[in-house]
Amino acid sequence: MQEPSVSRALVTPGEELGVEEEYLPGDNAYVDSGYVKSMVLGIAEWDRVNHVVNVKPLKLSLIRPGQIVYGKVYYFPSDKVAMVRIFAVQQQDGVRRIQAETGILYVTYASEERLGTIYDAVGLGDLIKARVLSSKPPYHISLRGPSLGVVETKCPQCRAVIVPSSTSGKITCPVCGFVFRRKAAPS
Amino acid sequence: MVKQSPIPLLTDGKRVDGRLPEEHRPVTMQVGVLPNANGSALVAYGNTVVLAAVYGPREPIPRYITVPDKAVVRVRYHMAPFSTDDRKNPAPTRREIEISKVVKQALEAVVFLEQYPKSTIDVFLEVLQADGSTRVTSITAASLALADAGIPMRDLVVGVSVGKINDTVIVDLNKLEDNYGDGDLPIAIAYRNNWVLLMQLDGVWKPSEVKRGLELAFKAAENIYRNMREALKGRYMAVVQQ
Repeated sequence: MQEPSVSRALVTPGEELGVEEEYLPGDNAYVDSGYVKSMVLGIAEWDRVNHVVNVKPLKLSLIRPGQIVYGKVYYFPSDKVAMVRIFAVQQQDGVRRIQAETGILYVTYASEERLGTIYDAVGLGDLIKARVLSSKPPYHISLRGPSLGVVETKCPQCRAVIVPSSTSGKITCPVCGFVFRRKAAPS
Repeated sequence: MVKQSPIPLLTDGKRVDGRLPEEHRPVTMQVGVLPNANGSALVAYGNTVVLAAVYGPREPIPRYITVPDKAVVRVRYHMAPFSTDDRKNPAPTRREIEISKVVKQALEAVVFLEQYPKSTIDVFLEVLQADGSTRVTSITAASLALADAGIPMRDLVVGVSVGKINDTVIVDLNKLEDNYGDGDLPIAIAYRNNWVLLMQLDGVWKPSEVKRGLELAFKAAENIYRNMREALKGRYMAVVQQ
């Protein structure tokens, strides 16, 4: 019977995974004194074909570029920038709450179209779904994309809660009929 | 005036609790005990019990502590008011501030700080029951909690205390030996790398005694390190099997 090309095992930080001559350190592995060692608690995967050893961490504790996050707009330092409190991350098995992190939304990333001010995309207190662009806090975020944008807002006139249903740039309040601009994400 | 122990600390080669000089108290460990923390651990060296919780990497507050190219480790060692015989004032003491600092320095040596720029890793250590060797128990607990939080580390850190009664070097001091012994030598070891990350010394020691103390500490660390790995693997084996 042929031996599988990848073998796995649970490893702890600092555990030796192999020697430098045999394996290259992949994700979450490093070389120390000729030995490839694990950086994290996770599942080590020895790829015998490519001679790489990766460690898949059991806990991912930080927001990474490309991740979809949910946040609330809490402050406008200028009419080009919105500050967002990121409180949840989308994962394969659903949305997970995280400790609050700060996100920065710049006007050029607020929509696919050219906008004059950030107020044409988001309003104070809006719940938004965004993509992370940077790897360290404060995180730069983007609303560019068909599924990204405001997922819940309030009518600026009557304060009725509105969940946008289309991606058009205009939202009409179902209570008072007031029309205002947002980069909406369909629910 | 020299402090006098109420009972002899060493009789016929046996210590007050019946242990041999090189014998460690039973060590128990539990990982992932606090659901809201990113990583947590409960470690007991005999009657000394420490709860460790790790939060982060997260955004530093206050922001001025931010370092642009690496994470900042913050450690708070604290003894609960009920942890000692007499009530301990919960306000941070000079001793607690010092221990927080030395534990922080020991942990900084093994954490890959450059992986998390502009972030902070907060470690909270609460001594729930104190019976000597609280700082080394805290180091073991902090290291386990950091590993449980998934923070990249070079090694697990093991804390072992060594002491002296007359001319006999002993391992893992209890409260009586801590208070009335002739010396105290807490050591933190990155076990796989053979690094000594913390070494403080109290009392008068001969070079040969320090050497013997280090030998005994490394020997004791082997067992504790094995316990730490088992605790981590035991907690997550079910996840891996899924």
